[in-house]
Amino acid sequence: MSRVIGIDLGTTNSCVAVLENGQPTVISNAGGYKTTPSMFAITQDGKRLVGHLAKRQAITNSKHTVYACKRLIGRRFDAPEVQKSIDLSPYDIVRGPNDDPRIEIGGKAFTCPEVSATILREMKRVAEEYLGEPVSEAVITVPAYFNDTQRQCTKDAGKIAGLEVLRIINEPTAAALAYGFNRPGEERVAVYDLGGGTFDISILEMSDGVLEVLATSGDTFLGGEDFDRRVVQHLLDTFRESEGIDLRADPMALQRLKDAAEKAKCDLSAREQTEVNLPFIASGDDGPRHLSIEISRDTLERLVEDVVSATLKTVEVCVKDSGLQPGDIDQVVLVGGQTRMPLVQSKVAEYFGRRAHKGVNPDEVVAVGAAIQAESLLSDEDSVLLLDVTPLSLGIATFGGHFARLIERNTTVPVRKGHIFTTTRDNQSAVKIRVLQGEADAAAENDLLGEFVLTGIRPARKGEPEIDVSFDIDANGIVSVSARDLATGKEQSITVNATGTLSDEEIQQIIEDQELYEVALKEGEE
Amino acid sequence: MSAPAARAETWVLEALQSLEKGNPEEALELVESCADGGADLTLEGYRELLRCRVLDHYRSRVPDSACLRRSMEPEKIMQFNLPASAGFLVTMLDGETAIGDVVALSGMETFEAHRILHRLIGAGIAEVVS
Amino acid sequence: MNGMERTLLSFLDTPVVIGDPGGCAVWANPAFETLFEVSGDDLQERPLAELFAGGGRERILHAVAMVSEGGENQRFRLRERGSDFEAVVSAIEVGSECVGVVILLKETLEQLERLCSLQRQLREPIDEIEIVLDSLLEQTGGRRSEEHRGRIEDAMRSLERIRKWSGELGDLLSGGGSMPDERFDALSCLRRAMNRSAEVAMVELLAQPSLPAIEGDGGRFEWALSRMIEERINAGAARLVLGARLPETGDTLLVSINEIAEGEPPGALADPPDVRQVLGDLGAQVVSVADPRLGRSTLLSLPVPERRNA
Repeated sequence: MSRVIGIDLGTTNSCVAVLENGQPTVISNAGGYKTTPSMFAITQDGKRLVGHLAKRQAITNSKHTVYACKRLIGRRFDAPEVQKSIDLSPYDIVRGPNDDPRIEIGGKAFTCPEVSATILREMKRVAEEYLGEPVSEAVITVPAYFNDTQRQCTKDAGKIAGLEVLRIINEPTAAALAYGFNRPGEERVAVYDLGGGTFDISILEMSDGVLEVLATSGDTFLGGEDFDRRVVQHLLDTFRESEGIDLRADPMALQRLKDAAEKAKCDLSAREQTEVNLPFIASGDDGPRHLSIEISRDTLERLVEDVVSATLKTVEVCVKDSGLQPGDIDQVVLVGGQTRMPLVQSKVAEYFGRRAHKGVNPDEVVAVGAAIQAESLLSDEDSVLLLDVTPLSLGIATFGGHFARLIERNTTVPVRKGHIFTTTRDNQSAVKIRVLQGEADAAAENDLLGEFVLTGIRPARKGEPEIDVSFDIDANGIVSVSARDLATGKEQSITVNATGTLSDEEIQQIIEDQELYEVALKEGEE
Repeated sequence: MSAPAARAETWVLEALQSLEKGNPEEALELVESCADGGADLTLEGYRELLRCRVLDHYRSRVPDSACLRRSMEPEKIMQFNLPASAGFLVTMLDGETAIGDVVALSGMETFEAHRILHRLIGAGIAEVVS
Repeated sequence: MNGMERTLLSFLDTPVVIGDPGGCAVWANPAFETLFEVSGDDLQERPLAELFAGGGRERILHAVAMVSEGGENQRFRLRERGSDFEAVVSAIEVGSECVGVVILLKETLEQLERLCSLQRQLREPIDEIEIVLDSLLEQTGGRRSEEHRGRIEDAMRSLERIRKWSGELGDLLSGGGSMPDERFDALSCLRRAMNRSAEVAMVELLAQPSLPAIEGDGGRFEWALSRMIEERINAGAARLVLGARLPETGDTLLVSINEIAEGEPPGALADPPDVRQVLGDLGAQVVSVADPRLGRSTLLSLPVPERRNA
């Protein structure tokens, strides 16, 4: 039986893990790193780069390097997050034919699942190299707030990468699993996840193997990269003051500064002082200039204090939303490499009045949780299986633009619920079912997941026909809907496909294109 | 034969002789000095072909799959009067990344990146990992 | 609908499709069949939704449901098979009962052209503002002017955003591709042309990292490039090196297709008239040089517009 891997498909970095003899192993890539940058690039000469290689040239080839594609996946082009990404990203984001955002690099417009698939394929390759056997199944994690379309697109990405996605699980759920919070009894856990590009905070309640997200909040545009940017800015300013040279317009210098800033930031989690040395950073009239600047932990903390405070404001709101007090939290779990920073740890501890739970690497904890879930799906024992809940209410648009909730948020999944609806006009022969997800009472303010038309309703006075609409949410959080006219028995059902998702034909086409490309690459390499 | 073509004929011959002697720098200097900075397309055409030939020459000496490493201490390298682009490439020489990848990752023009790398080898700053 | 009405619709250049209230196609006129590449037999009882792609599918479904339920005629913009249409969906009623729907697709070319023209006109004031800001920035020196410089730089950044949005508007209007008289990135065209031929020959791209945009129809340029590459491969070239660089003069972009060969002079090659026409429309000068020791280089010199939008 082939192995099932757990993948943390992150905004900035991704990680893959597998369970071996009951113990989770986080798999290192060829460079020895346990996390791989979620980056994809096409170089000038058409080479496709993924991971560390893509990151190494991200600034010198910024227009053709994609990062943080997770912010775009499953969203509509007009969504505020997409519009903000367009303003901030050096690469081009264009409107796709399905109203989805597409990323144009190297002369080709890529769908978001296609870009995510390049990262997943890399993670699959890393796992296969380590295990020495092909891998075809995986559990992939997504943020708890991801709606149906975003989950569906993540699943599509897996399919394009040649992976059957056995389960999509929420990141805080995976973190909780990895920390072993699966004991009988009740426990309230705060998962503080400060990744490279995003910040998420979730308050969870665990009770007899059921994990409920009481509240979740975050900022999709705040993360470790903001810390790096502050350090780069500091280095630029210091160098300009001392040498009179502004490096802002020099992509090669910026690439080196960005790499050095990230390294210095990591160093300062373990040391009080570090030095950034970048020889030949610029050419002056009188010869080469070298950059050599010392940074202390105090300086770093002063540079990023407001960013850390911003995360705590979000934490405050989230705890309030959960109806709890900071003191009610039994455990605090830190996720994401940036939480290694002593300032972050002390501020979080100060807020909750307790130190964070230690024992698992914050970069790897989500992938480890996914691997544990993967293993439990294969084994007969389901004792370690946690049950997730749906993060958003699900329902349909009804007469007058109202939103009728059929499944309330935080309902344990899988779940199936039905409701009888009727017509609003005499002799109405068709009804359109608009499936929505969200918490607003007005239908228009929620996310439209998809719609379908049930036709052939027998002619009758308004209010007489009975249409049974039932919703299914599977364990992945993916929705399917069916509608049946109880008088005629006519039924129509769909797996909800919002306009942003890809059709099976499109997915197949992408897979075929990539197979072609892979052949071309190997020939080129010989 | 047109005047530019006749001029080109002479420097193509000289450039190829320089290459045969294993001196791509001399060939390149000829190429750069003889072209009219884009004003004459015939000369630019020959320039393109010669640049391709010089690139082939570089690759025949050190293939794209080879890896380069720094062959002296950083303090010593810093005594050289290197331009920033060369300094950038020096930092990418880790003994593990193939030349082709270094060139792609640098974001620099392929030809220019190769030219700098070979100058670094010539200056004894970089060496091929055997 | 009777035979005479159908015959009348058959003569219309405007695509028309008729559906039943259940949302299945019943009949379409030849203009519709040509546009959607379907024949009458394929069409019968096929769900209308299957005929339309992407966002159009959703809008058609919505409109048919609204009209079938007794609602008013529906009108909306639709993009299908590369063209823009105004779709009009109306009910066929017998008494007060809806027995079918008619979908008519009216091409909206004129409106599109007007928008394209407006989008192009936007460039001029943007360029002018940029020149003014540039000169202001040059005149602002000294430490006390730091704040002024900062403000001008902010304004320039905002202007860049306007330029970017204007470009995106142009892309949207042209359905994602470049439109006539738009600027295009020659490097992307080269890259795509290279990708297309990479399976049949060894093709390498040597280009400067950032090059100015060129004025003209990028789609046609790419087509011409692909044809030229194809011609050379068919003529026996086993290895091609594509180049793109800005020479010292800076007023032209040099794009080269180099056939690398040694030993014998490459055979004579004349590019087809339609390729020459496209290059001529772009204002490109074309020169070809061949040398038995090196191979052949075909050089295209494309004029760089005065205000560059790199």
